[in-house]
Amino acid sequence: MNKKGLFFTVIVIAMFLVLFFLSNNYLSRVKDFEGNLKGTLVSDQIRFIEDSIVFEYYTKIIDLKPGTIERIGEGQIRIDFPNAGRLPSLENKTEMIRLYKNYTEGRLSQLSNVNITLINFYPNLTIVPYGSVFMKEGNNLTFYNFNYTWLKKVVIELKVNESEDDIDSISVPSDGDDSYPSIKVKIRDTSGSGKGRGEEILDEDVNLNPSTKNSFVINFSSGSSVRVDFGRFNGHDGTFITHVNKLFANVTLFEVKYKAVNQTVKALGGNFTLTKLNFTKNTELVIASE
Amino acid sequence: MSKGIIFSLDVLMALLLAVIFSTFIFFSINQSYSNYDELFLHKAAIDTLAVLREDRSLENFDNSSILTFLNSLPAQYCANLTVYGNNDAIVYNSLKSGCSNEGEVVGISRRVFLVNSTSVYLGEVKVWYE
Repeated sequence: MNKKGLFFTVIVIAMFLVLFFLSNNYLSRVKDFEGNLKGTLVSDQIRFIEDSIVFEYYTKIIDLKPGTIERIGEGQIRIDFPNAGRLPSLENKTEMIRLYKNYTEGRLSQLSNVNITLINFYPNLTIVPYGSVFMKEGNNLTFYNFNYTWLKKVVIELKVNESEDDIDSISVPSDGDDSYPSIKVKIRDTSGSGKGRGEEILDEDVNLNPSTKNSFVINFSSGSSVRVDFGRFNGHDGTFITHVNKLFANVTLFEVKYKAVNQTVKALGGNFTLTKLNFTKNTELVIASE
Repeated sequence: MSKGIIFSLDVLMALLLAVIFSTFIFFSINQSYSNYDELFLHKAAIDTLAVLREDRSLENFDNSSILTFLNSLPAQYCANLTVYGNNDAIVYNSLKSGCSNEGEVVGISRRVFLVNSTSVYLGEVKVWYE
């Protein structure tokens, strides 16, 4: 009788132990699943924030997207900007991007519980490895060539909303040594519509010393003017600036050629880091690449 | 008499063990409640904000377009869009027709956006089950 009771008790305990292990196993599987679920939520959130930042940067801030970066032979790399838009561009982009950065890193970070850091987030783009920095703000389209020895040629064509008949004066810098970068400037007047249309006001291709001040200037009788500078401007050698004053100019052609390098040439617009729980996403804003 | 006591003790112990095991198993399973709703609502909130961004109705504060889209969400979803200005002041709010209080589980998505390249706003979409 006692043996039967003991046997019964052992069987009952064994059955409950089986139940215990089964439920424990189920629990650990559910916990794993919940971990994955949380991971999905966090990665979704991070991806959405990343997508939003890229969208704002591309569509509203940069306004100067490179089209193609290609090797064209003769040991050169060509970068063109088919969507260089017009001048003047928006004023005060620096302030706009500061507001955007502050709001994103501050309020959005706090509310979403995601640590967002925008690094080198400015309204400009950098061509690596050459280190050229391009920007368009207000009346100026500017690019700095901190290492101008790589620069071979710059071509810019502008279509201004002034007539050839109203030209007051034109000045063109004198041609320099063949070893200097070649700067080609084409300016067309308001007649005709579209790319390549309009009377030709200026079509000059000269080699210019990057360490001196060189300017193409066209003044109109209305008091408006358009100027293309190359050389030592804003305290840097090899600086290229297109400046408009009291007129509009469509940038119908803009391309830059460099000496080729054995590295991938990319256009970068800063980067950003997003962190939440154990997830970290570091993204470069690659605007164009070879 | 002693056999009866032993039998009663045996039954009591078995019952006690049964209660302990059952309670443990019950609470274990009960605690493992997975909130799938949050995931689905979160995805719906992200989709909603992405669509409002792509059709530019968010940037333009286009009330009819926003409301049309919110009302076209599946019947079981409720959604609310709020846009905050620079000082956290609400500058725009739109709630799907027929919805009122937020549910217990809410999916939220947010994005910062520029309007006319001069002003910065924070858009927030909340989605919950009706």
